[in-house]
Amino acid sequence: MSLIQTIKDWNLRRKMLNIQQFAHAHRHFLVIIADPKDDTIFVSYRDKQLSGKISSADGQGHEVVKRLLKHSTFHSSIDRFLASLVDVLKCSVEKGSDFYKFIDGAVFSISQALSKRPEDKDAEINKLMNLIAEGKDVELYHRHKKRFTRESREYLESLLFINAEPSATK
Amino acid sequence: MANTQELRQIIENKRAEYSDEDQPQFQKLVADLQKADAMDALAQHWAMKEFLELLKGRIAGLNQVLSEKRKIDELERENMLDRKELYQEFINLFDLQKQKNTIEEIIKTL
Repeated sequence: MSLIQTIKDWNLRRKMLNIQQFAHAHRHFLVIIADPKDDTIFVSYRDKQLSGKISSADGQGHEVVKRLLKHSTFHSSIDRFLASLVDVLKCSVEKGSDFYKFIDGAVFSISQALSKRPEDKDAEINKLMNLIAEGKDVELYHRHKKRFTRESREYLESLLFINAEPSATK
Repeated sequence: MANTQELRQIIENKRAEYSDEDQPQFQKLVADLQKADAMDALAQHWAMKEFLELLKGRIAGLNQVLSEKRKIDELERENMLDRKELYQEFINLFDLQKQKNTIEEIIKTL
């Protein structure tokens, strides 16, 4: 085994020990950890620590967690992920339907947020800035103020003649 | 205790006594010796020295907690012992003396 691989394995074991320690320190929380690299799930509550691996009927992994976090493949992977969670938690879908729905929604939101590329966000901000500048829309500026950089804010404020807080401008 | 050069010489001398079928075994020993040398060189780097010192300090800290703390629950104790083992493994990886001892033991059995 090469030195790099040895150190990588060592680091992975160190991370697992850190996770175990974290789960023990926060034993009154339900902790769920899924690793996109190897599809392992770690669940802990009140010092009961369980771990499992997502695998299909043919016994092969299909990068479920990775696909789950990708917005375009979310729907094809969520069922398999929830089935694995049911398996690890030993809690039926009927009994924990609200919980599983929550997990479904939360992971969906994360995948959606991750799908926005930085270029898309920049384009959106530029569009917004043009809209504010063209329409001299002070209200719209204040609504989205936090999304702009300091330079953009200074530029827009000079354009809109803003020197004070929104309440003072009204 | 033989140094790296001497060990290499011993391996070469022994190698001549054996047939072609046994040569891979000696090749592996030479490779292990080279690896141990490289690890030792790496361990002399200041950053690695500091990291190894940090790990030794952590082991000392864990030993202190394990010997002095009265109430440690089973899970925490196990985690500490695993951690100690893990840190020690990394330190051993860069310990030329230990690596050479292992190689010497193998040579003796040949």
